[in-house]
Amino acid sequence: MPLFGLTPILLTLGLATAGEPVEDALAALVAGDYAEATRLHVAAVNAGEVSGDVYYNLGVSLYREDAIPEAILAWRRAAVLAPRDGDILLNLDHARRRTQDRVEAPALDSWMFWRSSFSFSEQGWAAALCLSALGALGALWRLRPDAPVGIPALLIGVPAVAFCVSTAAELQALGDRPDAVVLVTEIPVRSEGAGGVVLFTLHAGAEVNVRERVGAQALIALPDDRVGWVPFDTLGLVDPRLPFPSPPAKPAG
Amino acid sequence: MVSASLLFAASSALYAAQLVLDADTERLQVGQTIGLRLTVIDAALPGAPSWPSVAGAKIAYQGVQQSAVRISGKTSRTATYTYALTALKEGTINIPAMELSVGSEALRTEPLTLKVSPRDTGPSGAKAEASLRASGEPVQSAYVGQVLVYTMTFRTPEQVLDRRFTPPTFDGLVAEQTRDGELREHRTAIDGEDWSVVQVDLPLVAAAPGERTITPGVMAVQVPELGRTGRGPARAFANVRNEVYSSESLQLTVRPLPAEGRQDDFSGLVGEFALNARLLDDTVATGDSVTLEITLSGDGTLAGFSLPPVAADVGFRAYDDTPTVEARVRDGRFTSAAAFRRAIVPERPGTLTLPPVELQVFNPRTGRYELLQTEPLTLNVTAGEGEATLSTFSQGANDQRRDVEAQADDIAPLHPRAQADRALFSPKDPLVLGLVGVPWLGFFGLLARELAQRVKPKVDPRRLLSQRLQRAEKAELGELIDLFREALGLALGKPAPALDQDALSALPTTHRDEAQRLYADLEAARYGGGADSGLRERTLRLCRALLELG
Repeated sequence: MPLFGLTPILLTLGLATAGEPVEDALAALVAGDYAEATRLHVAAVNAGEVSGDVYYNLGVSLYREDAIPEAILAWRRAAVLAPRDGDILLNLDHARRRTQDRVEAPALDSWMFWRSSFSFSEQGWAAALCLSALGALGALWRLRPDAPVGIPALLIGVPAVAFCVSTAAELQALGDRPDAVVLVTEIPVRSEGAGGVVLFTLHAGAEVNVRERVGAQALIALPDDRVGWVPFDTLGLVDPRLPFPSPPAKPAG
Repeated sequence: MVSASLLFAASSALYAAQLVLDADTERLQVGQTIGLRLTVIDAALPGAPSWPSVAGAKIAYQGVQQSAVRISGKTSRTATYTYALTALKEGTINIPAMELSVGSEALRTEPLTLKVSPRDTGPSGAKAEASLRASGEPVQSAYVGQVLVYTMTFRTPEQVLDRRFTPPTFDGLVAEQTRDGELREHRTAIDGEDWSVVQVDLPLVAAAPGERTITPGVMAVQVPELGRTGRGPARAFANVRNEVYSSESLQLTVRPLPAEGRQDDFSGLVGEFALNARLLDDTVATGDSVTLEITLSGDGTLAGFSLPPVAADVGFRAYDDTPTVEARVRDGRFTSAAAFRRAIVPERPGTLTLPPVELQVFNPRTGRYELLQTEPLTLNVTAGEGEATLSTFSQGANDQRRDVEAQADDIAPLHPRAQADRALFSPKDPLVLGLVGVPWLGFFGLLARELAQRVKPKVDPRRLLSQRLQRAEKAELGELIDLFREALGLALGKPAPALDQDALSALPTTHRDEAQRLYADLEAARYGGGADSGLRERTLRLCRALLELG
């Protein structure tokens, strides 16, 4: 659980809720009905009922169903929303060992060191609160010019700028160059869209970064900067705001 | 590397003078040259010892290095003599024990055996090789609890500027607790050509039975870019090239320990061990203590091991000190040694025979359980002051508990308090816009109001004068003079206070005479006695006429 999660505050404000689909999905997961738990979790997520915990539990039910790439995708999305949750990282490590391609995810190398500790949502709300407080201080300053607002404005202004910049970077990364997980068993990565030569082959669960999308093709990159084209529908994007792709049907029997 | 082995040797030497012989590696190829070091601890030699002829090898002296190591408050001085050993033929190089006399003391090294393999006939380029070893030998099967050493050797004819090792996934193996892995790097000569060698040794313990696959280890190295070394100062900016090498994956069969022959008090130790015990004194007074030193050494892990407790009512009490465990890993060979110090307090005078310490261990080499046993030791106990007050007591039954064994590995459990978070941040969220926008709207609103208050309205003077004329039907003399001067000023384009009678000559002829007359009359009225209704009408009329001049 996040140490400084906003959920309790947001619950108080009525902005978070334990909806029925999530409760039903959790009940199915506890009862061991993983197919039903997956179906309900996906329905909840696609209805906008998302959080780090919901994606985490979706990953657990998918893992139990042996849908490893989908489980990795769910836990990657969970990590975006709850980056301080050690269970997510532990399970991701567990699931990655069951994939075929050794693709080491690069560490987030940024001077904005707090990005790895706060979710984009937490950073965004922090930026909004800081900007709001800064505006209120400005209004107070105009109403009462003698009020000592200089130091508080500085103390709020610096984190406001920092969180604004990092939120913009997070949203840009999620929207323009998102990470993705290969969801099909095997996919040849080609040098030119659907044509060209096969540069290398990726397997289910491999984690890549989507650089561009042109029509039905996506230009992907590996951490070692090798790039190539794959069909876009073979990927699941690590953006928790997007609908979750339908997991593969489990063979009868 | 040298200091680590030196520390190991010095700490186990109990501060006595000692000779230690050490080599870069114990496996080499024909034509390969490695470093051979003879370290003298706490003793001085008159010069570099010369080696006798060693079959299959050529040994040449290279130099000496002296240093001091401080261990447990005592300083040990060391002198390390370095030799270059070149393998001449395939097989085994047996370096015999060297014996040197230092003063009245005779020092002796342990013999050293090096294995020489034929020259690698494959490509002459860089290569990474991995193996799992037990007691220095490659193995493909092991028993649960056995210590294996994952060894990866990387050789390249180029100079290695930087290297990074990524270990494989050790399925069914866990890291040995008392010794970290070791990464060593050295240069060696093969047929006169310099090679860089990076060797990694990771001690591991087989944890669970089954067929295990060890994924390839990866060695990322940075080497100089050939052909672009530049000249002079440009050499400092020579390019480098990153290369990645991986070893092959390894298969391992981990077998469970057999049930046959296992006693209830099986120690849990797996490996080849030796057990020794000695008393530091053979005579002690009743109630006083004497130290029993027990050493256990072998090629298995000793992490967490403790001696079996002494049974009650055996004529003495025993108090165990915290044992010291030291381990080392080199060339796929793991060795560890534990020293236990047990204080023995006899309870009655006479001859006390200490019962032997017994340990059942499993020897993976023979695949059988073995019983290690120390020799019985005899202690002469004299009468002492504590005799009358001593009494035997029992610590109760032996602790029968065992550690909880892990049966499987799994992902972390589900989160039972999952809640949907409806407050995912979006910059276009009305709540965000309101939260940020309202305070800033207030700020800018207040700012705008202040600015508006500071700006003076710009008024047309003609319009202002016209308005004043409309309200001047009952104007007094002062107001009439003021209106007259303002109207003149507007007509002449000059400020009203600067006007005098001469300035009126610039008026058009149609108004000039009337203006001069009115000026005089107003001046007269000002100093004579006020304005009459005729003067007011004339003034207002002329003012309106002047205003119409534009």
